[in-house]
Amino acid sequence: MPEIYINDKSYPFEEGETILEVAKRNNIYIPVMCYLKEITPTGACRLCLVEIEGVDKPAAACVTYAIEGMKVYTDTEKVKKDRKRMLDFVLIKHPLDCPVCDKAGECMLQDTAYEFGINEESVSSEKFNKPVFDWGFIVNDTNLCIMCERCVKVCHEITGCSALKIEERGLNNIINTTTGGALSCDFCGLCVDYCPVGALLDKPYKHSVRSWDLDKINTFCTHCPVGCEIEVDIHDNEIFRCRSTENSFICSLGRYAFKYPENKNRINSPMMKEGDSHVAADWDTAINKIEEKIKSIKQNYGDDSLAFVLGSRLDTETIMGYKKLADELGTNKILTDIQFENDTIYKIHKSKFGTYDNIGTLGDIKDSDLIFVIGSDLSTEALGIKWNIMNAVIHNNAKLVTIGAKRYEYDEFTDISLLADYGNYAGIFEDIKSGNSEFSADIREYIDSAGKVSFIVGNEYISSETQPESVYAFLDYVGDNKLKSFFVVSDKTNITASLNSGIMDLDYTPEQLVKDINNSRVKAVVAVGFYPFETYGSYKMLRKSMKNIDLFISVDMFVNDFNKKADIILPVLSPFESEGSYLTLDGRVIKSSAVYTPDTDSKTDVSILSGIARILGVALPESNEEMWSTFVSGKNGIPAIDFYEIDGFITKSKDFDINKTAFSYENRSEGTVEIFVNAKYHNNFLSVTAVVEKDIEGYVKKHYFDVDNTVVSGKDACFDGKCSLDDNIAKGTILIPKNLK
Amino acid sequence: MSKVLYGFFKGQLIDNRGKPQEEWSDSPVKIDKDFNGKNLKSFINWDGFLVYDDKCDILIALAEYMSEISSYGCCGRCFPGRIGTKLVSDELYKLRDEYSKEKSDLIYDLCVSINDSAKCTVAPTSVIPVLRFLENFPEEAEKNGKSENTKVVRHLTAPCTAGCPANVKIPEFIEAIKDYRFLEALAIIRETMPLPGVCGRVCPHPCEENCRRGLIDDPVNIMVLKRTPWDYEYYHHKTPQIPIYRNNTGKKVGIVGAGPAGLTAAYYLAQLGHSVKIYDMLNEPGGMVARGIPDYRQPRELLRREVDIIKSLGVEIQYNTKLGRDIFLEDLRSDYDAVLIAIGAWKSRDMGVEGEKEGYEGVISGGIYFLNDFAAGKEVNIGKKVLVVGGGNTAIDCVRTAIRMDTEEVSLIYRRAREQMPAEDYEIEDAIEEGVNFHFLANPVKILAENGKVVGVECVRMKLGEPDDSGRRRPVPIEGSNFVLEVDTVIPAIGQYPDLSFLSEKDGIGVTKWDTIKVKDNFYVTDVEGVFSAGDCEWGPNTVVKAIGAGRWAAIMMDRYMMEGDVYLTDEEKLQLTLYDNKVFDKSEHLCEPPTIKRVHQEKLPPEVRVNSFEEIEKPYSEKQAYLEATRCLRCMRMAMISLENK
Repeated sequence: MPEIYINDKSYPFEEGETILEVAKRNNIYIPVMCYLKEITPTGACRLCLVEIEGVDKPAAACVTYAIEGMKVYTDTEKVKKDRKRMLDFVLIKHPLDCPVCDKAGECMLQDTAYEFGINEESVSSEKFNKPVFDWGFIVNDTNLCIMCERCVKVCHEITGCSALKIEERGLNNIINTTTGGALSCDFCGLCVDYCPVGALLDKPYKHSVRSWDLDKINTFCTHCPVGCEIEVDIHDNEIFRCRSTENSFICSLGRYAFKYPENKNRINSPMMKEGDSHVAADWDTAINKIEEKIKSIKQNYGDDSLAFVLGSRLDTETIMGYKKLADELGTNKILTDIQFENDTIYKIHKSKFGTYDNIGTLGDIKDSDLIFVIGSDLSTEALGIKWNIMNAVIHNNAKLVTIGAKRYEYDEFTDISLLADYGNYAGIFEDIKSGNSEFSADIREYIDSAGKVSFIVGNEYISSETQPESVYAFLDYVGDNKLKSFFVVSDKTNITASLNSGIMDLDYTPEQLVKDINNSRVKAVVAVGFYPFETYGSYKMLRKSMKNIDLFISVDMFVNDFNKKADIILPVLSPFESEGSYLTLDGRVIKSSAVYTPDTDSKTDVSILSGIARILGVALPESNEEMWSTFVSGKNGIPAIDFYEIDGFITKSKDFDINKTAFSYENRSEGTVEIFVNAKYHNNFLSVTAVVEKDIEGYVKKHYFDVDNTVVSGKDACFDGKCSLDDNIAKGTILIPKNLK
Repeated sequence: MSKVLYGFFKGQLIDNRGKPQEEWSDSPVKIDKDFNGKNLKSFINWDGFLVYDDKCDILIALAEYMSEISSYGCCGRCFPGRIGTKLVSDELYKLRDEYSKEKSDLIYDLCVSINDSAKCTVAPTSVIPVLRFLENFPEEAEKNGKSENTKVVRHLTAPCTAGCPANVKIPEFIEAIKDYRFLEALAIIRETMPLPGVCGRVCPHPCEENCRRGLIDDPVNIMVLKRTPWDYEYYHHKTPQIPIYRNNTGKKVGIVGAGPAGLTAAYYLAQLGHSVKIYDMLNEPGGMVARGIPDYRQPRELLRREVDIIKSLGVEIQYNTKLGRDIFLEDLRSDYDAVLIAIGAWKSRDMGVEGEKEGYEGVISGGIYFLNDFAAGKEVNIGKKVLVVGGGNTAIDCVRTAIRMDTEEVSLIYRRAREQMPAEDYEIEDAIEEGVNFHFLANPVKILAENGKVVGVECVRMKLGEPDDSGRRRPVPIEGSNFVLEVDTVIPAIGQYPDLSFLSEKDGIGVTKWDTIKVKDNFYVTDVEGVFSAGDCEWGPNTVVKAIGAGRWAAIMMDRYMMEGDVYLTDEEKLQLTLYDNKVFDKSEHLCEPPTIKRVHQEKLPPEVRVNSFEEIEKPYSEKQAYLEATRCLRCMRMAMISLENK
């Protein structure tokens, strides 16, 4: 291995490493401001200047490669003077508004100036008078910008949105949106997180709290199944901000959708139906009522007249706990929301791989050299996956092929983007197999030269492909020896636990449930964290039949248009208020933490489950911790660790085989397909409840994006009398927001 | 020639203060005193500053220079460039208001820091004139307020850009590659180069001779970096986004020749809203690029994509139409608002050896005819043992084409040594790898035939004598060294010239002694108003990039002619060409840059594979390779400024 000398000590390095990388690896301090590990080096701040023997001028360590035998000095008087001057240049033009700046206390410029011992401006100069852009949830005060370019590079290289650019030259340059208009992006806010100064700030956070008054607690985001770590910043028992941590890149949900516990529809005590509305009750009253009703139902309709429906956003302890309860009761009348939607794909997946689990890890996506995104709009399903794809493309030369209902926001980076007209994905796979078209010949070439291939399959595919096994047959064509990862993407936070719970294997279906209700074989339904959309799947059917039951118990955080008909609603704590574990899309075990103490009478799902079980004569643990150690840990491939050991890094074991998929393509007619999708920035019912406005002394602060119910369609498709000519949407395809009324 | 009153330039102090104007020194920068009727007062660039007028306030000029640097010259993507240069400008103005030693020292200190630390070379080179001024002429700084109103003209360039005949903004597009913004890089390239897919493959890349990285180790692989964004667009299946700058002007342009010059002019004229029609004698576009450059170097389907992009701007191309046979100059003049003749140089020069004109079977009348016929898919009758005469690109293309055909032995004979061959050295290397025999320092004297068929060529060995007009040593035959090469086919490829047979005296278009069309320097306009000419037919056989550069400048002039009734250079363009004439690249410069990674080479087909096909030999960079090679670029941007009297 070649070596360089840093301050007269030798260090080995790998070719292509920069001086800064070698120094960082060996804990040699060199100041930086623009440098970020995850992006290509910029060399803007020049704080990392070092001296190199034999080179007359200082060099920036972040962009200078280590070369065999190079002698580097990081701490000479010369570089110290130059570094100080660089910072001086910035401070001379930077407004010294620190007392009113929201970045104060966590500002890199402030900290570095202090570290360098700068206490006055060496030259006085007029400050900037540049624009301040209000981009909805992000504010860009260009006067504060030091032009380190972190935001622009993060937006381009990590998120693939490329929504920011540098406008103008020289002193006049500013960061603006690529279009020059409104910011159009994922609003992941990584630009804000990596802004070293107060130029980019979250609007909901601005002018709300001083940074030094915040308690910063790391937990996991539970909006989607990617399971990103987030930092939650608390003051006075209230969340003021969420942001990414050094282990994560997050999205708009993790970042801004944290006010749902304050939604006006939140319930804080058990609610009992009286006439057309609900009245608050205490727990004893509610439990007694339930006990009494169940007793009478059992008497009239038999022991097996009770059914459970679960949402896949519940924590693992709750899902596994209800399954345990059903087992103890000897009933198979338990369903998850997966079964109300389209669960065929999961059954095919299981017959393909012998497991419901996704194959591979998020890291495997990064490590792939060919990635197929098949009918998955990651921006509304599980955005965290996209960061891994972008990483593979930018840092690993991976080829990227998207086949979808539309062109995705990162289209600039795709090698080929195909539209699945009329929802016909199988036809495209057939075309690739035969190599008939220009595109398919190229894709065959990618496949031939790839060693590690990943497949990301999502909602658009699941909702519109009439031969859902076709993508698995396509994997056979690609070659199972090349399989690096295979993800069926979902927007359901704990879908992995639902799939692993065994509920799917009980052979009970929504159709059967509805039939049982209508035939009076089921008279009581317990709906836990379960929200049936009004518009699609078997949900509609269930909604209609609910009027035929005698007892509708809802366990939820909110009153909504479904459970407003419930006889009793039992209030639960939110994931910000309680501990619970989740299994991510790639099988990591994560845990939510109670980050503040809510003023509510709500309980955890597990504790409510325990209460319901007791009524039914079954003893189940009351805490997540006990439920974990009794019924979760060490089962279904879940690691046998203690509850407190869950750290987000330990993964469930994921053994799999690969079986050949029988497939023969069926020609189909070119009919219109309707695909129910999440609205932009929303991925489930929970995100909708995060649209909270708070009136603070007359100033209304908005905390999340409104639901945009715009329907879009491609050519040869019309909706509500409107027809489209949009070339970026697949022909014959209508994308309808899930809960459009 | 402009005379300098005082200044400091390239390490040289010039001081004629107090002397009468006749005794002032000649300007070390060759520059006109007159800029469109305005007098030159000062010149400032990366090498220093020069004062041409005793009323010039050079301190203010330097302050303006730094101000221009901070707002225009510098990209603003590093702290010292973005803010440091502005502070120097501010402080220079303050110094004029009230001189003090402390202020002067502070400016000096700021300049040193900027020079030490900035990211590219704009800011570090911009402080050079200020430093030299403060060091050598402090008394000029102390003088008070004789400042007068001047007009400032500036131009930002780089050694590679200045060395590129098409003036591609090389450091800028390479910077975009460093940022992984390939489509943005492509847009930058297309500002001055509409055929990057071609020029990224076949260009002899004079830019690389002007690359400062080359002063430390190997130059940046600019040519391959240039094809990379184009390849990105193509291989990533992206639709080209070409801006249109003006609505339809109603003006019509006729262009003869769909080669690089004609296509380039068409592209820029179409962007400016003119209707363009191109006529070409061939049945496909590209001219010499299509027919003269074999597919293993420039696959024609890629060339056709370039042309399709140009056609997508509304440019029409009519094939199989030859000037002087199917269309006529006077008709074109009456049908179009402006006409461009860009017909290339398609006539092959004779060797002038015995037996060449006897009609022997096996004598091909010219290398370019051979390549053209082969590329056109016509039957080409060559034997098994082929000898190509000449040392240029056409000769190399001929041997490498012949060796891919059904031949047994392919040789090239050249009268000078390998080092003098005009063909690219890597191509000679490639040809040797493919099995071509080279006979250097030898020349044919007689073609030998039996029964009307070539059986061999008698040659003579040569040695290099005194230098000729071109500076190259003249080859001289060595008496008595004759020898015979047994071949059955001879292809002369010693030079080409334009076919100007369509011209008659009444057309009024002048012709040079080299059989090329005469135009007014820098304006590309012939002796006849409204008729322009560019490319090989104007300059003589040269490179693709030269034709592209000429095509673009011709388009600018044609646009001015049509829209403003006159051809001219703006002050900035005049400064630009002045900089080019004076060379931006300085071979003798001492660089203080750290060493870096080795030049990244693209993947290449091995000789045993490529000799059997016409598949493209050189493969695209991967994006990662392109990024790594891009990081070798030193960003040698620099700005020159002149101040002119303001009137």
